[in-house]
Amino acid sequence: MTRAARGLAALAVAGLLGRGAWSAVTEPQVFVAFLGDSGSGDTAQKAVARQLDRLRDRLRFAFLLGDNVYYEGRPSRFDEAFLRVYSTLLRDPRGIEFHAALGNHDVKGCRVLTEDELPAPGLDGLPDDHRAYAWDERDCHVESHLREKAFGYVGGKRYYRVSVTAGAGGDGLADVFVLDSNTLSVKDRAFPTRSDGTQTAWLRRELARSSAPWRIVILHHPMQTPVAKGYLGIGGHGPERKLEEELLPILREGRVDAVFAGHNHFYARLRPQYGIRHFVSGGGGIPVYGFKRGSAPVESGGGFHHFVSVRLTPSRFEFCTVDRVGSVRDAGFWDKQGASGDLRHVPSRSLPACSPWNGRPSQPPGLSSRTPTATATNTTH
Amino acid sequence: MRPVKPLGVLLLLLGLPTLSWAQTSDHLYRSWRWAFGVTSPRAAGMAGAFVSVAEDSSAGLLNPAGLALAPEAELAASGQVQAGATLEGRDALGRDAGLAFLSASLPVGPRWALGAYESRSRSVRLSLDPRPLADGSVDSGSLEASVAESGLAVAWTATSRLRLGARLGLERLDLEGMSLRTSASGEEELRVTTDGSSDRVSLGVGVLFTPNETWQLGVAARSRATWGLDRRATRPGGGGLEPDRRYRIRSPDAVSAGVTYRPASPLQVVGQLDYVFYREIRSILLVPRGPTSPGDYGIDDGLEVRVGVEVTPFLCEFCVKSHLQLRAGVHFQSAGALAYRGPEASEAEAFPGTRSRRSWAVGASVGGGELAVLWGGERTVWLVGWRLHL
Repeated sequence: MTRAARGLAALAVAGLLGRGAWSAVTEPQVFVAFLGDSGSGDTAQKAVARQLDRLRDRLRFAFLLGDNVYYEGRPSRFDEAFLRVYSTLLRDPRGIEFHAALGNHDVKGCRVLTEDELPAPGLDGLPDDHRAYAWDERDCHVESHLREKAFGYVGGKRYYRVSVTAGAGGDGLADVFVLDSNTLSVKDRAFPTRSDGTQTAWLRRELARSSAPWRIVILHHPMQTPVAKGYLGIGGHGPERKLEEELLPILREGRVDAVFAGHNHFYARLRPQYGIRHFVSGGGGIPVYGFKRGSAPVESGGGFHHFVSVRLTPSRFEFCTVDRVGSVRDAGFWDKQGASGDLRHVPSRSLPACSPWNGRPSQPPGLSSRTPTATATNTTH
Repeated sequence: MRPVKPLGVLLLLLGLPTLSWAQTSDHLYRSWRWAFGVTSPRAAGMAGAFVSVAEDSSAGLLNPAGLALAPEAELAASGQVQAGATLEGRDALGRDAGLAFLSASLPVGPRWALGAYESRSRSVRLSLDPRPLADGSVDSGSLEASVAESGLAVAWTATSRLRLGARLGLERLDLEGMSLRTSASGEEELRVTTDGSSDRVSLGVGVLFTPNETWQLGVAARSRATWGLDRRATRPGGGGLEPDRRYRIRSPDAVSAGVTYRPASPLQVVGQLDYVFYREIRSILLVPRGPTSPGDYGIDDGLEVRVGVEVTPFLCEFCVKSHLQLRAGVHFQSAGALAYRGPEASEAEAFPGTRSRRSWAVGASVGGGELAVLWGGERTVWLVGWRLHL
């Protein structure tokens, strides 16, 4: 047999083996990205966006974890800090959906209504839209945020649910619950108010209704986070204990799998708490800082610009944290069937969520070849 | 594909052939230094400590590997005003103003980036102070010279941590000088004129290594051009017309290595070492005539330290909206000038050598505008520029 013939034979065998492995698995999948504190409009945000763009042909959802427009959320900066930076993703004909959570800088000039100011007499709690806020002594731009279609505030609501599906009419792979933590029990809010019971009641109700394999909550303020180092008076933020007291029972009862927050300008992945994995992802563009080791049950993290790429299948939650220069900083997966805390780390090159940064094909043998083409987004209030 | 080894690239850079200026020992050159200005306002604001930062379009000249870090297309332009100054030997540097730097960068896919630049890196108008030397003779004259570089650069992201770049440029030298030596009795002893104007090819390579967000290492090497100049001299008092001579003049070559430390991204501290290969000047020095020999002239290689800091405040609306950045730096410059070490007293007066010195810099960016001020070196320089992202 000539060398060429031997080569052809080897290729044929390899192809057959590959096809077998490929077709054996039919799990649907969807790629989702999470990034927070992005709205600087500067070089770092554009560098992160450039890395995110490398996921464009697979990405279907991008969730912004708040502080989407620094410093005071002005609509005059929407273009510079959001629309232009992600323009290739926003214009992609395959339809990449952005969905945002409100951060404290997005409502910088706002205050929350007092009891006496509630728009509807007898309304038990804050409205779920911009009417929850009023102008402070400065301009309040929350209405502009909620009405900007590209931000994806579904129905113009402050909090909403997004059903993440793999393909048109496909089964839902995840429900993502987007919260407005500014009106919850966070300690750094500029507007003293009672807790937003309407929002927490909505979350409890929606979680109970969810039948998706994965349940993810995103919000701006982190319940679990390490404490920032505080260089040059840049203090960062500690964990929001009262917020945790308020939400944790609901999240446990609703069997939430993961919580993504921002607010602190670094990346941190913490050990699971009551089966819930906490990610702090506040390095989407604004200057970053590090955190003190040992100040929280941190499994991985650091002060670098980044976003988190996530691939979901009905049985697997796979994540890949990528920095602004395209280095994979953290990666792993856990299975739905696995015990709590059963996180597995494998070389990032074997994870499809990391594939654009490894120069590897997006669909290694053994994974679904189904391409998610459309997604359904629902909201129920 | 075999992985690229950073150490190998570094060794390759350090092994590049080194070039230096040549010149004559005519007193025309007695205040000539081989210092080149950093003409990008951002880099200048950090006293030139930039090879390990190099993340904008000016990287095309300063470290082409950095083009791969520029996330978007960019155009930048700057102008400069160089104040007049009186040098150590009382010779005068004339005031000068003009275009300083033009640059453009363009990312091409996830791995490649292109750049172009035009830099007016040297511009001097020297007037010799007619002070009497030890033998009673007096030199007078002037020297005007400018070096402008224009070129193209390319950067390649080899891995997510390693970037390589190269540039190919044309360096244009325009030089014109005249000196006149008169004796103590007022007779003209020597008249020298020199001039030249030509383009030469220059090359540069660079490496950027980013092990993590906190540290970044950069190395850049420059192989500059060599030009030919004509020298004409007459000795009315004795000897008559000297034969015309052709001599070479070269821009200084240097290898720069820097490290950037970012404890938090609002702050970056940069340290850089430049090794400037001055010593070859002596070996190719043209000593046209007289009792001195090239061995009487000395010049040492320079190890120059640059330290820069850049702060990006972000805790105010104005800071974020204007992309405010503040910078400062210091450059410890080596002497970089010929020193005569022979027995001739008048020659020792003409070429006393210069001291090393510190040059300070501050700078800022507001919106697309950039400003840098440098002082403490040869002269005070103001740079004003504009950066546009496309």
